[in-house]
Amino acid sequence: MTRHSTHLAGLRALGLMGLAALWPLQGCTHDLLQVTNPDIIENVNTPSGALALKNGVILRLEQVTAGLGGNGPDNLFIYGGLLADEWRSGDTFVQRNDMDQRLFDPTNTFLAGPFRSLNRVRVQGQTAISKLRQYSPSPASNIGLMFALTAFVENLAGEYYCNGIPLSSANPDGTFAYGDPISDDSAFALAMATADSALAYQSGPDSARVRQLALIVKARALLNRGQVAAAATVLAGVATTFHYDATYSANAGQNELWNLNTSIKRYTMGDNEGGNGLPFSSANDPRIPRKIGGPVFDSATPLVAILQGIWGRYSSVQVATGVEARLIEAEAALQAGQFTTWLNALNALRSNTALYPVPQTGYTSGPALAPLADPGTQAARENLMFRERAFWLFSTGHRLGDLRRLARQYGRPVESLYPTGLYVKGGLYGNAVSLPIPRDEQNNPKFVQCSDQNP
Amino acid sequence: MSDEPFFPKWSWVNSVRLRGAFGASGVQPGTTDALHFFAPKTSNVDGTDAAAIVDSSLGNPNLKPERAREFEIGGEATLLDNRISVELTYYNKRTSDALIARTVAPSLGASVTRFENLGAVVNRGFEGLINARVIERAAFGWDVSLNFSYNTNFIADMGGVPPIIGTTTSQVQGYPINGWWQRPYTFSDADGNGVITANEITVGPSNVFVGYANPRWEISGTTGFDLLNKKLRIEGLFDAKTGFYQLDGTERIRCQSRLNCRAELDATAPLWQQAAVVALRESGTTTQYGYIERGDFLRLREASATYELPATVARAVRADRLTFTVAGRNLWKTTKFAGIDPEANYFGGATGIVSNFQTQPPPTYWTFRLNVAF
Repeated sequence: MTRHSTHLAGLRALGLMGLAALWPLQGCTHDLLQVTNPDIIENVNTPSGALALKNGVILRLEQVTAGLGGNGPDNLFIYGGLLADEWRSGDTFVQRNDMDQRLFDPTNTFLAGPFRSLNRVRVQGQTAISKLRQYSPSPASNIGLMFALTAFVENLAGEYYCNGIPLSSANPDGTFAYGDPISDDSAFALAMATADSALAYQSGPDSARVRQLALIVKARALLNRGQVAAAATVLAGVATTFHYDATYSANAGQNELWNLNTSIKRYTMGDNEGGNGLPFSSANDPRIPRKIGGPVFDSATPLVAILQGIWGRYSSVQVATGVEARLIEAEAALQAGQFTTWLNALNALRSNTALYPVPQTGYTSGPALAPLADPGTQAARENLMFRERAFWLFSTGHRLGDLRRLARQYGRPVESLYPTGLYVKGGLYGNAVSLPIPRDEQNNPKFVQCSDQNP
Repeated sequence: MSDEPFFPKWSWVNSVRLRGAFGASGVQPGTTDALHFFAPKTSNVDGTDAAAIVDSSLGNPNLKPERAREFEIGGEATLLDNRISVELTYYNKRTSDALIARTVAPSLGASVTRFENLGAVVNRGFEGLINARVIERAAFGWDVSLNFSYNTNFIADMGGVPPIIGTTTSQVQGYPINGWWQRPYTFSDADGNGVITANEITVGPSNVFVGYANPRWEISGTTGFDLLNKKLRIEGLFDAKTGFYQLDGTERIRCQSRLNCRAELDATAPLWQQAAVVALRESGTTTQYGYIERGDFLRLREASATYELPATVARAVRADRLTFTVAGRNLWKTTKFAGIDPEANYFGGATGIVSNFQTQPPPTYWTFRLNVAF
């Protein structure tokens, strides 16, 4: 009995010693479970985090404009140009053929990437603005730049997409704040307000550039709303030589206008596409160097590849320019009946050969542009105005919005503007005038479909 | 159960067993699935590469483990002097908080998907097995085996998540996981000219459920004959799967993009094929409805013959036993599926969706095998 009690007491003592030995480990448990994963970044609440977020927004803008537009290489500039007359599909992918054929199809799987990328600029721009204000408020022009880029894509949304654009965002608690669909005009109004916010953040070494970018975006939104005189007034401080570029590199991503057209020939330049298209190639215009590049990617497509020579693999793309500012001023003069001012503005640009793009090696560029003469009628002047815009601003995200403006503001019949008739791969051109909101958006309970497909 | 005193003693029943089971299991989300985090990138800022971060994952702070509980009841019996055995099992599995990568609305400007817990997914059905030695003589034998299963799968509760809409499949409460959904259409050759045109097609206003992406019935039957004093065995394995649909992506791309399918080139193509193309290309509301077809099939999966060579031949090569087998796989099938094969699956087993897209069907091949036993 005594030996048994002693044995039990010994076991108890051993157990207590064991518990005592394990006691300090409870303090380790929390830390042991808090393993840092080096592949992800959770905390951006630092000055360097805020600046890196700003750079991330710039990357997203590069992607949606002329870079990797989403899940695939198609960005808004080239995909919108496919619907308009700038680009044609030389491809096997039906998603490109359908857009080229003007089929309004929300189930087109190439739509989701660019729309998501556009919204990434907007949503992450808002995050960057918040973090810059909190952790890196100086120079203020960084915040202004974020506002300006956000305004830029808000305006693009209105130019590219059908009426009824949802603009959503995620809440900090992980829930979603789904946006109610808004009209294109509301998107333009939103872009104007955001551009005004950009103009409020002016100090810093980059302030002149940010200011000019914001002014051009605001003027472009005003133009889209039909307020061309007000747009021209906004632009007084913008230099003709100004340009804001989306830039590319081996590490940040290549210029997909070059890749999809010049490199892999899945796109070919439009040249009088569908009867109404402009002769972007055969006009032999120095603003669009080009050359013939053999067959297109899809051997079943009866088209030759017309390759643009403006951009190389890592060339930057001018997304907002002083040339655009002068063109808006010229359009204001035209609408005001100041035909001499209008013509002089166009000819001043045409005679400035420094504004022409430098052709890539091996590409043909047309002779310097001769001065234009007044064609004499209002319709012909409008045609000339939009033709000048199309050649100066080729594949920089303007043409689709311009075709819609011609229909919406100038009363031109849609079928006199967009490619029409027999489609090169069979069937007829469809009737799309804008990009549909992609079907994936139906995961937003507030969105059903576009409210209309008006220009 | 057949050993119990209350169970009747029938001469043709050898044994009867009843069984039941209940189990529960869980699946944890990935280690970072719940986290909102950013990813490092390189941005080119005014011509110079610079460090950047971009939103990478929305995260979901409310993400929970997936939990499944399942019960099954069943029985086994052997009959007729153990020459027939039968098994039947009913199962009912309810997966709560099922982890699913939900497509995120692009207007959120975020990642393409994020993990969410679907309220509940139910799988229930039964499985059965019948083995029979129909004839068993010294010189001749015939045996049959039949394996079958039936499954019903549906989303019982979306857990407050709105329907998840994909291009051809969707997740909708009350319907199966990865079910096919498309806008339906009707057609009529109104002018009787044998050619379907866009004005002879009526496309429905919204998607409807077309059918299961996975088979509901799977039946596998084997039968074998032992001949020549059981020196020769001839065996056949049949597979049948029914109750599912497959997207004929090969024909769809040929009609939609390559423009070399029969319905594009041949005015005498069946009206249903013409209608599928018109609905796909010219209706203004393109739908792949015409290319989602029933995938039911019956296939001779394998036929084989195994012959045991005479002992003298075996001894000549100093072996105890020599057998020679010739077997053919995927030798024959019958199906109404118009595509290349209802089992040609572009996605493999990753998604559970059967869809061919320029995918080769299961190949037919022969094997010859000599077994030598020492």
